[in-house]
Amino acid sequence: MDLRVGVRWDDPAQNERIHRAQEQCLIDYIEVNYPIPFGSNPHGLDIPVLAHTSSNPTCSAEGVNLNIARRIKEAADETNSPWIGEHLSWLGTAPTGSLGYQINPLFTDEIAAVTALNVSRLKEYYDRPIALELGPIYIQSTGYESEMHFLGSVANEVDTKVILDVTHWQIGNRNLERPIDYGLEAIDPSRIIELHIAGMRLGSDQRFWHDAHELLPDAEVLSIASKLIEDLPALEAVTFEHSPIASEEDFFVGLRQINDLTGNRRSRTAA
Amino acid sequence: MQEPTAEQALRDRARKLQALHIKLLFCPTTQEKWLTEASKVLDAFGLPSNMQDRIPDITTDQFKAESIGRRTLVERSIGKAFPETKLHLETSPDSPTFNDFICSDEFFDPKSGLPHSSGVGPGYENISKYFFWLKQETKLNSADCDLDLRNKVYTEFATWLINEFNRPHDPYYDQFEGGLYWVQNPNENKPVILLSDEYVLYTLNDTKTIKQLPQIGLTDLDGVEPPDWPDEATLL
Repeated sequence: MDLRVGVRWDDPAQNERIHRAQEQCLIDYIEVNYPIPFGSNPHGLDIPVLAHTSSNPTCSAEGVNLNIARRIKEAADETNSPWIGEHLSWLGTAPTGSLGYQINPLFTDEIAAVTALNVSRLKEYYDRPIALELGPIYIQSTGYESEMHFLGSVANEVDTKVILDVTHWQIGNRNLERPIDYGLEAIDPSRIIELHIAGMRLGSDQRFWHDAHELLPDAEVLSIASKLIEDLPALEAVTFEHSPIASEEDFFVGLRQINDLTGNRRSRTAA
Repeated sequence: MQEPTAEQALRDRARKLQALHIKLLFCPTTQEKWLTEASKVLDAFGLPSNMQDRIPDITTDQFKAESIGRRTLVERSIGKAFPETKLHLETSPDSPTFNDFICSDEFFDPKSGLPHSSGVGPGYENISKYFFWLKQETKLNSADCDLDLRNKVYTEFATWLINEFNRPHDPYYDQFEGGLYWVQNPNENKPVILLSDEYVLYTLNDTKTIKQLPQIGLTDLDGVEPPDWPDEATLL
């Protein structure tokens, strides 16, 4: 399978730069983060879409809100997305709403069992493959050896694909003082279908690392991604996550860096 | 009474763990109680004491970093929407604090806020939850309220509502077309403050003009409340 390169779409403000990236054959798809703002139409960009969402709390004991899931399903059906990206997360304590950015669940047996139930129902509802992704980690797991083991276990149980967010993974390893390659062995490599790559920043405490889509990926993340692109047997997509408010110059620098990593594995399909 | 199914029992246990862990991430008061009386906190959340090992050590720098990050994000968004209110509260003794809000039931309850402008339903932002909570805590629509605080809170929340109206929005926000108004003093019928949907602030003293405001479709901010949003179906 040829490898494709894409960018995350969050906001219509990105349309112009995305259009230019497509013209320059730097991208093959956009990964749209649903639900999208009222009145926006990324499908009108005439570029293939990978459906993604940060709005389903797949680990919640309350289950997944059908109103949100329906919007994502409709978009994925309309764009014929080959899979739907979902985060292993909570959003709050109620059946709807979000208290802020995604909340990492407790990585315990109970939550794994609930997550497996939720994801299997979502998969059936979508009638389409699901790819699971972890957020950046700060706190040590209390039930599993690590969050990566939790992800690997749920993916195996429900038979899902996996999005390996290289930046989130490395943030977790740095924050928990683990080796660079810690945890990868917990995930069946044949399940990893997509990589996410973005910037990260060191907090003002000079101790903890955070996701930073406004920055370019650092050299270590790019180096790890390069090796993963060589090694992962089922990898089909590499997505660059870059903030709509970050500089356009950086957007193109990042995209070229990622294109350089893919080498001959990418088939350039853009116009 | 019907026995709960294995899944219901599992979800019930997980729901309690989820509620406790999230409360610990946000609320300093619960964190303090946890450090001194963990078994009582577990009990308050309906969890047996043998579940304590599911909860991470909250004294670690890792836990503190995540907790501070989450609280800071909420605090920043509220401070951005209510800058004058924030200054006023910080300089007024015995005022409700941000910690009071972030530990309140209202913060965790999506139905205590408005539907999100993007159309995903209630509880996806904290600004409206904060407004309704603060209005209640400081009795902003009562005769003896702090009028200066009332004016700041209402002006800033009305501005936020107009911002939501002026971008592509859920039909709920259509009611703010034209603007919002409120009486300056809940004890009196005038003057009335009007914030137009073009961000022009008027002080109206003419009774005839004031009577026309609802007739021309403008919304009284004192009448804006979290709607009785129906429970949404879940994929259970």
